[in-house]
Amino acid sequence: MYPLYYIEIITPERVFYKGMIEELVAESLDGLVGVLKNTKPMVVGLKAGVMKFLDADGEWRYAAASAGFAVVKRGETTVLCDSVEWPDEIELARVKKEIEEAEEVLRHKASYRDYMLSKANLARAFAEMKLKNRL
Amino acid sequence: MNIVDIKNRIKSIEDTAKITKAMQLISVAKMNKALIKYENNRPYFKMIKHTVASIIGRRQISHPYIDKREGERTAFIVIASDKGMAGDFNAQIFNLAYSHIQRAKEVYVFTIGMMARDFFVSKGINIDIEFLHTTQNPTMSDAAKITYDILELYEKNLFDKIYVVYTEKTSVVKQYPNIMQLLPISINGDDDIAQKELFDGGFDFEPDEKSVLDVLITEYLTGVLYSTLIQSVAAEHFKRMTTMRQATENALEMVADLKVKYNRARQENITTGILEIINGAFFSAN
Repeated sequence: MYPLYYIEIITPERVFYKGMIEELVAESLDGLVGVLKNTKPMVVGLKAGVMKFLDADGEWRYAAASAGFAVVKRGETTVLCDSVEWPDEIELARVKKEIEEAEEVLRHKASYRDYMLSKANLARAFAEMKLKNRL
Repeated sequence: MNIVDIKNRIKSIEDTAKITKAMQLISVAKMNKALIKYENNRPYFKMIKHTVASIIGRRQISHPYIDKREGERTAFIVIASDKGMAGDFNAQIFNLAYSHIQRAKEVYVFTIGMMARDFFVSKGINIDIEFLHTTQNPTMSDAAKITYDILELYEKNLFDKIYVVYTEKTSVVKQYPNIMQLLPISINGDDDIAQKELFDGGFDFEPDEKSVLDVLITEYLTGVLYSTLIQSVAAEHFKRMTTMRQATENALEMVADLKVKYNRARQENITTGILEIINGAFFSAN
């Protein structure tokens, strides 16, 4: 067992999780990244994807996260994302509708704003879908 | 004032008091909702400001959204409310915005809220973008839309600086109008947060500086804009609630005063009436 460290996962709408964990695995911009207590200090860019962490009870907990970043310090990590959701908060019907809507926008020639927004929404929706399907 | 006038006036003031009382109650409900959102948002707002300030404050970092531009073209996002009747809530924002606008050389104005639009129209200042329907119940996707809009304009090199003018809430009862520079990202004026070090030693960017900053900055802008919207809404409802409570109290005070006057006038009427009768009886007896 690795030593525990403190993590906060914060979104603009709520403090998603705070507490002691053993390990965090998230999808960085170029692949999976794992964070332990003594990982070197860094700022990690995260893309939308499934995030998991091993909590103090030795249980892996999964969440779907949008793009964001993690600030890794020795003994303390903070993850900031637009949205992070537990599996039981995700409704497949809603996610499917969001994917359809985003794809619809992307098919047409959208403005810069709509394009960026739809791409971000799509990535988040796919992450939620992935999480839901693996469980 | 005769007795009928007083009676009508009491009636009309009582009606007004009923309306202001109702508005106060509505504001309380809306404010509580907004305050919950505000409380949930506060840790994020603090953390992201702190993170960005300490990252760009410590290192010589070059990024299109951080590097200063030479020009003087300034854009302002002014966040006000959709409705009035909120005391000096809107006026305070406009005073602050207007004083900065007058000092700037070339100005672009983006408004959020109907009151902001009306204000600039009345001042004869052109509004470049109106973000409608975002003041009632701001969401992250509203904030993201605004972020991408301003990033696009910034990339097209239409202005050199952009500020947001909003009402900052520092606690449930404390609020004041504030101005914050969004782009290029600057830590100047950010009170105490820049002083606190985020990292004791050095740190790396993973995978690399540019791609992390791209994510970080979009995230920062969206987060900050969402926070300013949330804070403004909470502040608006708080202000409206206190204003309406004051209005109700004033109305009830006036009603009390008028009731005294009314009773006095009624008493006078009766006294004169009795005197007349007595006089009449006295003379007819003689």
